[in-house]
Amino acid sequence: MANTKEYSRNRADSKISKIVIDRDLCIGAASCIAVSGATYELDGENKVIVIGANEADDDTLLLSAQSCPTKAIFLYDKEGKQVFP
Amino acid sequence: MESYKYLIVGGGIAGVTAAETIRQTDKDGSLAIISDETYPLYSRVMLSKPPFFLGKIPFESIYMKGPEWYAENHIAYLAGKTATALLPAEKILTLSDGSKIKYEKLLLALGVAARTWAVPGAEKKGVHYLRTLDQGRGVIESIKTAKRAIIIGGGFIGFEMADLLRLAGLEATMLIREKYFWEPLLDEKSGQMVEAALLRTGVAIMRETEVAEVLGTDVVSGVRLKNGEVLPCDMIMCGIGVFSPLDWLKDSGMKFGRGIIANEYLATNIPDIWTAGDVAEYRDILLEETLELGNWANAREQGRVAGINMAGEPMKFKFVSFYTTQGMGVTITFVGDVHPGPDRTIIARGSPELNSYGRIIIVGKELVGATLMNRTKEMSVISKLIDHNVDVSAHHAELGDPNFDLAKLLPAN
Repeated sequence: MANTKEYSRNRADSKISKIVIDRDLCIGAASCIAVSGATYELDGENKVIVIGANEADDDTLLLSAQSCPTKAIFLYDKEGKQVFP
Repeated sequence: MESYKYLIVGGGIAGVTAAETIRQTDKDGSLAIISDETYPLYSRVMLSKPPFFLGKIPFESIYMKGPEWYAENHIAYLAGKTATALLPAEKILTLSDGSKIKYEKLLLALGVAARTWAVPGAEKKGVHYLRTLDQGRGVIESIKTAKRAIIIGGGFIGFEMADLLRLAGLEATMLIREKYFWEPLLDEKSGQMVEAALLRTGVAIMRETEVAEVLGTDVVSGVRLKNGEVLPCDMIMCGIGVFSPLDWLKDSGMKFGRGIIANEYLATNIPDIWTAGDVAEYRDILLEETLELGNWANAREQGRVAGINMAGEPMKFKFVSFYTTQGMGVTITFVGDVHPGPDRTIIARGSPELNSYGRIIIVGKELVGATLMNRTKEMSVISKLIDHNVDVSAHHAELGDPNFDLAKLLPAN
């Protein structure tokens, strides 16, 4: 994956340990922010960055990734296996 | 006769978001979505993005909801049907299969249709549009064997298809009727920046060019231009605009122009009927204009607000919409309303020479929109300037200075 940013997550009750944003796919639609404004924000290039990797529970995080129209949010578990998409 | 408390016509992002929003407060009211496609919600945005199109990610990634989402939320999905008549007094909607459905509250989230290319031969195999998933499949198939493509039209589809076709290794020529790319939505300088990117990528551009006839047997083999020139090709991508097929509403009493007319609550002129998404010609309270805006963010947000209104809470739609596309080294961003007009003052920010060129569009004292070439970082602050109705009449010089931080014009918070 070319233009990606990775964010570690170490929330106690979570199965997800990494959030990755593909900045080439991200079109700044901001639907993820609508789901979890505590997790995401738009940066100066109108791409999504993670501001709070541990803020949302797994269900909310999954919903936020599902809401992205370009599937630019990737979620991985502790073993490094891709959970979404 | 089937009957639903909430009936939503349109299974795209506006319709589905409305349904999702209604379900947040009304878990039991019967709800149905009618769609002319048979698929669950998929991302129309992703349809023209390289990872999906070039097969780098699984085809199924296109779906945003699975069939189980509809079942879990008690949403009846009436797929593969079109609405053909509306009787507002009786609150009955007739569908293409002859069935009639009664409703208490109706949402028309019909989207828009791709304009059909009206030249002789345009119905030949190999002539493609890109609106639906099935059409996307058709293009993906064609690309496997095609060597030379012609793109008709300069706009989002033309731009994104040019990028995709070149990434797929095809030769590509773009034919536009206008003098420059995306006239008049972009100005000449912005259009030329895009053209430079297209040319660098190996896309030939023919301006002020129109096709007289599509050549070939039942499969396309080329086009004959109005000037007589013949260009061979084995596939054609057509992106020449959109329209709303609203003829079926002409006897219903519904007010419509280019789109279905809506007030700031996204309500139509008929009680208990709302509209949302690309089809809505709505009252924008920030811009104080009536406009029709076709992009994902707008459709999603309108679906949400229409859903809130339908579930019983009056809420005004207040949103500065935006859309970005990028490819071939250039990013084009639209914010707010970018339509040209005699009442618009345009202030340039940056220049093509700097490879960073924005146009701030002002009506009266306030910003209404902006077009940004490689200046997406200002999208957010420009949205805020529009949202806060900032009076910029004394600040045209600053707006024209590409190094001036626009955030300084925001109200102090």
